[in-house]
Amino acid sequence: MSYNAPLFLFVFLPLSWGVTRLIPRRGQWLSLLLFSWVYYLSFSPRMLLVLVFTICCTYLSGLILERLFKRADRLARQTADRQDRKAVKARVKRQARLVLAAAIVIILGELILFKYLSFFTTNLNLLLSLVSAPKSLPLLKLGEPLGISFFTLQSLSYLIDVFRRKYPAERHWGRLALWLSFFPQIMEGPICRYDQTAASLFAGHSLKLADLTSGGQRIIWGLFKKVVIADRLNPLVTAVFDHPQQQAGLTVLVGAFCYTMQLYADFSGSIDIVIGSARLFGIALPENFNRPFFSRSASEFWRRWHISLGAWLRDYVFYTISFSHRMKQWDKKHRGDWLYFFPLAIALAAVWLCNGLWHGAGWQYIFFGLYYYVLILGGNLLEPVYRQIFTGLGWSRQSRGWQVFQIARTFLLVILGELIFRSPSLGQAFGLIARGFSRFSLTTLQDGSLLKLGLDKADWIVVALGLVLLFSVESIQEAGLNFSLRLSQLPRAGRWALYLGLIFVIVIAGAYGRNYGVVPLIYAGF
Amino acid sequence: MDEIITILTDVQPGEDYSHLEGLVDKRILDSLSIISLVSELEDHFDIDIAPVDIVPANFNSAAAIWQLVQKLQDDA
Repeated sequence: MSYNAPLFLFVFLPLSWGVTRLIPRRGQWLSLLLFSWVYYLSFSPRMLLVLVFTICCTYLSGLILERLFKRADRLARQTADRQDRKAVKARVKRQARLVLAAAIVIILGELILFKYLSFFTTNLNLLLSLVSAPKSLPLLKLGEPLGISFFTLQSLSYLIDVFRRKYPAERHWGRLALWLSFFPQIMEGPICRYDQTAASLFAGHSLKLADLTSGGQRIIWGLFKKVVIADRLNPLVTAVFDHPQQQAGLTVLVGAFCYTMQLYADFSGSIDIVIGSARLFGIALPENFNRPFFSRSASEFWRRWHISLGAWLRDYVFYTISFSHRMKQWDKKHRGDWLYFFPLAIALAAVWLCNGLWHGAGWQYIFFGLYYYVLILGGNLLEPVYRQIFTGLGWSRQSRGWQVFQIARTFLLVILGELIFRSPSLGQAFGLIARGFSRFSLTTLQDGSLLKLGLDKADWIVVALGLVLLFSVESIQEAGLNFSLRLSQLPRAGRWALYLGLIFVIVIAGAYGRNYGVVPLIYAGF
Repeated sequence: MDEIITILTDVQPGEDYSHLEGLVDKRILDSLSIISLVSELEDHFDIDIAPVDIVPANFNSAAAIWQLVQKLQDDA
């Protein structure tokens, strides 16, 4: 029951909405929690235990941390001397760090057990075979609990924030359980922070027309991206990446472009459905995309694409490493010499290793992370050089021409990254890159081979028009126009004509039904 | 406040920090200079700057940094 499935859109969502609305505001959280668990049960009854275990572990660890800090505060209040106060706090912090470390080991252990165990076992067996070891480790296939990559990161963010004393630990088990289980976001994120959404999820909301119209708009727009663009591109992307040996160079590049568009339309479209669904209940979830293809650099791209993952890695991996005691000492010792950038290089390496691995247990994902690591570290290190060149030549870095060049360059780099990302293995990724640039011939455009990859002329026209509409809307938004506000200012007849027109386009041009396979949400697989 | 401006000038020379706004938003301070700045502030004012305090709003101007330092000194 994916978010784009008729069963979700026409049965589960309206039913959960109707029942929740019938309940007084104080009890709405319980309805949301029960429906979230029913949703989870519909995928895997057994794996619900993993989710409940994570909730319990997070809850108890948070309470232990809170109790330690309260004791430290009490002791500090009884101590007049500042240095003694600091010593008390430092002692309790050490104890709290142990509690946090134990909780992280358990929660990360879960993630490793269910998501990475077979990857690590396979690679370990490969190593053992290289040293001619007589035995190999058995491959355990435990199955992957729905949304484990998302709810484990949420759980870790909560515990680290409690440890950092950003907010006190939650005493109400149900409130924490709902925040970790909320059904519209459990499958694809966004990875929310506790102080972003927990209060709103728990509060209960009265019925507002604005929530219904705004939520409905987002769901329709998300469906358009998913069903009309992403799912229609799927046959071509599958054909290119499942049979890389048979493809001409230009076909590979077209395949990489189409996959980039498919991934964006699929992920951002399903996030629109997620945000729209939550809004129907009066709950505002954070945005996960901010028109990423208008980015001028790889680092800006990652601040605008899957925003919640980038922000998570920044706050809990990058900051933890780069502001650690050792790194600060290093910074002091080497400021001004060529080893100065080491803390940044180490922190970024950890961020991009985690980013790659988070997306999947495979070497192509690790290489994908490495690719962005090189781009972003290189960009940081070369920044002073760029600055000097531009100042020396008297050029403006804000000129329109330079900005357009930067956007185009970033777009091409992203497509190359997605080529690695979508490849079935690292070896095939290298093969596809080599093929894309060595067997390049424009005759592919004329000999009709692009029409033999699962997309006929009509499909190409639908996809092209869909992309033109998508990027026209984004260009208008990028120019600073509030699209939703303008839409709400239209006369009612015009507004409804637009809604119905878009629904009509989805019904007529959507890739669904007997001739199309069901395309699962791409990020739900990560 | 003058001490903050001196530290900022040491970490990232070439700017007049007395009235400059948007140090992070305009990327005048990059990742490397923020690491150095945090380290200098902690040493100079005997404070601990936690990752939760490392948000653009706390580093966008000398005045914002000074406010953060005062808050952390009061909390200690």
